[in-house]
Amino acid sequence: MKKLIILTIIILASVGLKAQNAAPKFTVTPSDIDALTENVTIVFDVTGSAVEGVTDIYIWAWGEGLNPAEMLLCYDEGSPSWGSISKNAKLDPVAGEPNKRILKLPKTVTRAGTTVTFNNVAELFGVGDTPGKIKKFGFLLRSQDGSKQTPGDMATSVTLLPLEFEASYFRTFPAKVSNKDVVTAYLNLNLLESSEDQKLKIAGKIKASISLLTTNGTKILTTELMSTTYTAQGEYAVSFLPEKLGTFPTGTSISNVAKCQLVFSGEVYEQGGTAQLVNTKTFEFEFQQYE
Amino acid sequence: MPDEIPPIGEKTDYKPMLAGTWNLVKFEQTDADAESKGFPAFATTKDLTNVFASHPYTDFSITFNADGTFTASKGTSYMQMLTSGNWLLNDLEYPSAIVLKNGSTTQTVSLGSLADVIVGKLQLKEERKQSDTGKVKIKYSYSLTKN
Repeated sequence: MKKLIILTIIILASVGLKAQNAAPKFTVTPSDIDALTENVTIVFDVTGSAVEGVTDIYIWAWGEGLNPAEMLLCYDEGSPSWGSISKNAKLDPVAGEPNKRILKLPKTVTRAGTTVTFNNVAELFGVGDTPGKIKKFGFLLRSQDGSKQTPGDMATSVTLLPLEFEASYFRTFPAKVSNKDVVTAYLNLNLLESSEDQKLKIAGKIKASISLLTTNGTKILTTELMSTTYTAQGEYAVSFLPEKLGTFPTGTSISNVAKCQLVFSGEVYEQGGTAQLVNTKTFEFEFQQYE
Repeated sequence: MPDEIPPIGEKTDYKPMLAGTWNLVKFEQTDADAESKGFPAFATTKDLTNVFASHPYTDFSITFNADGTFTASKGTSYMQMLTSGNWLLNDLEYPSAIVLKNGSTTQTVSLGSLADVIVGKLQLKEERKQSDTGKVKIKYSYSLTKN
């Protein structure tokens, strides 16, 4: 009985800690931005996160693949230091919304004794002259001394639209699309990621399984193993109109669809001649709101 | 049979030229962001005409009647257009769009160049705009020929 009580306490404590360290919700406006988009606004909702109730909330952000990776707002000069975050990284409050903070571009700050205006994400990360270098940035929210912080490790991140076309393992056309548009998804096995099953390199009969999901991730319908075509660019392509993917369960419709997941599969023949099915990871993208 | 070319100097009345049945011959989708950044053609525009083998967009046709009514036949295609109602030009002298109406539902389809209407070619365009900014994100182009 004593063991059961202790176990229950541990589980409840664990659940409690998890709830207190929820990733903050955030909204980027405009909803799709590239490194040079101006007048960007990010609104953070810290409800349920580790920094809820903290008066002064700071952002610590880093650009994937950059060196130094940290956003220039995070440090005044020299090298970025977790222990001495710049006051420039303090997020502005939102009137009447105690759990919300805002970061708005253009943002003018004093940095190393000089007034600087950051007009876009590229400038925020010091790559204003080479904006193609930043494709994604992650962030966490923290207290000034860093004793309270939301999850790192890209738990919250913003993916930027590319400035130049780059071949990629997975892409959609159009790059951003609504649930009322024709979507074409492409898989480029020449750019197979190292974490994937390398048998995919020699797989044939590539097919795609497509699922439509609600905002909270509930699958509405799945269409299995749709045929793909092979393009002149060496990609496997599958086109679909979300509304025509299948029969929507009673009570649901295309208006409930917010996200899409795809898994590509291919056949690999083993020595005995038996076909083995190998799958890619699950690719996911969100549908945009277009008029 | 193409319509007769009007004499030079006369105002063109496009409405009778548009009257008749038009068949879709090409349907294209353009990523406006990719286009503005000068991405390669394969990453900018996609020909959707026969992208769904069992549902070709060439199945689509639309008839603009001289009395102001229209009927559209989707066939097996996934074309998203009103199937019947009334049609009118947004400007009789300098039209830039055809307005399709059925009850309270209105669909405005932009006209491409009207230069080829006289030889039986019509281009219609539609745009998808981002809700929060109004920025054009996706363009659709329909090329039709007259029966």
